[in-house]
Amino acid sequence: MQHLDEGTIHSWLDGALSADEAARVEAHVKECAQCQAAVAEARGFIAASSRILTALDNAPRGVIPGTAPKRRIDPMVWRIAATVLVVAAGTLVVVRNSGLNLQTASKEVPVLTSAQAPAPMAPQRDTSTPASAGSVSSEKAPVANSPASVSSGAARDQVSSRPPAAFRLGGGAAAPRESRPKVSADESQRAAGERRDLTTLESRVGVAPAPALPAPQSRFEAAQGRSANVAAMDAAAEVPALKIVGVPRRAIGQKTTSYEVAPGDTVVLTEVLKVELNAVVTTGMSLAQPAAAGAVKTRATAKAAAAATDTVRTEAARLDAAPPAVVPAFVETPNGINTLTWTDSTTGSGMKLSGRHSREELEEIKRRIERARAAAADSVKRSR
Amino acid sequence: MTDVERLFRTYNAALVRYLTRRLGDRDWAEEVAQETFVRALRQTSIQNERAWLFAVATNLVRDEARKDIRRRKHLALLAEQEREAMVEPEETTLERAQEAAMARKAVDALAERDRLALLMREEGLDYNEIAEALELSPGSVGTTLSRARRRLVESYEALQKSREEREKHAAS
Repeated sequence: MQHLDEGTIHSWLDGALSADEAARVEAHVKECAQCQAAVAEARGFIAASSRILTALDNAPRGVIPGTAPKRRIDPMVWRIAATVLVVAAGTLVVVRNSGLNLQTASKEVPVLTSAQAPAPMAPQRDTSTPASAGSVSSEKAPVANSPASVSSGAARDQVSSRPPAAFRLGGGAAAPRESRPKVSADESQRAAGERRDLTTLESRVGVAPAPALPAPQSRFEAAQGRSANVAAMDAAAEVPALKIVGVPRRAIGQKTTSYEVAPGDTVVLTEVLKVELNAVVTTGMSLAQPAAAGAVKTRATAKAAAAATDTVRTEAARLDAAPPAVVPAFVETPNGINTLTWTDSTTGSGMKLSGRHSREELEEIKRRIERARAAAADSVKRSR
Repeated sequence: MTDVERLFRTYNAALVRYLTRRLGDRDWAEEVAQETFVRALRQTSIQNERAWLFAVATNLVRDEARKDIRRRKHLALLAEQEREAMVEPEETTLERAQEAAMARKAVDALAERDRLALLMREEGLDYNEIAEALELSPGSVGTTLSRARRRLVESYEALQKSREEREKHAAS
């Protein structure tokens, strides 16, 4: 007898053969090792295909092809991302402010505030709270340590004399658009000066640490100086701190925040995070010390002495040669929404600010956001 | 009990499972099964009930036939009763979902005739019934089934292997 073909073996195993045929197959299989192997294989295929088909029985109802269930991201990922962001923002504060002189700042503040009726400090609390409460210090209370409470005497007086309405959380009428001062040419020039300052500072730090200037006496004093400067900077800006009105879209490695510039007028800040914890921490440590050591004399002048715009102008002119590493790029779209992009000098994150504003306005908003973030990170740091 | 009710109670579960495996959607499978029983109502006599039902169901899938809504309502009620009596399948885990997806792919990769013959065989149809439903010669059913099973298992195993390699790659 010939060897059995696969079809016959399956027919036999399925019991589909007549009695005569089945007997013949059985007799052959008993004697033929090759066909015994084929039968064993066929049994395997029958069992396996039954098992595979069983897997289809839990077919869902009403399947619409192409709609996979939305993936939810583990909250832990957000916590880690937020931690990285706060560390990164903290680094920014250290670099931006540690070199500033406490005396200069506190002297300058009263002059500015009394002369120019500055904006309320209170909304700054609003901005600092979500940023800090989000992750790192959920069990601590950063609100009590908001910059205003530690700032210089003049700044504190100013806060306490504010009408209570300004403290209302999320109060929409905090800053009507009309009251927002127009960005003057002076101011934008000052902004340019600041940017270049930062660039020079960084290039100096990168090449060799600057000669040691008198450093703050203690950590506490340094912190005080920083927060005083943050307050002073806000006061000097003559505008209220921005209010965060939402975090509309979320994606890994990217943070999107909506800021309310004025009621009904929002801008969107997109930050492409560098989620490399080691890199961020290392950057913070290596930059913090040299920055504290000095090299920011020009910054102190440029930033705090807002009244003395002439000085600033000369500073800016003098620093024209600085590398344009952090000069933002500006993209205009026909629909009226313009976008400002730059690289955060401290964190290396790609920043994108979009809104219905002119370039000058966006650059001003950018500085306000940076201040708000610096203040928020600062208060988080001190509450630890 | 009317004749269609008897048919329904005898064959519905197997027919729905067959159609679910064929279509990948339980609701659609139930709809087609119900339509099949509606068609059975119109028949004065059916020689081999099971072969006839599976053949009609197969053709309905192929033709996307129109449905008799009024009659289906009664059958939908019966299906509801049967569903209540059935034990709900346990929650689908990720592993099981992946297995189901691979099984779906492997089944879809088969030739239509091979796939239908195998699915009918899994519902207990004998070779003659399969031959009748699919208009095959009874002698070729064994060959069809052996080919279908071998290909199904081989393509499933190939999918499994490539998945394992992907996972290994992802882990390293």
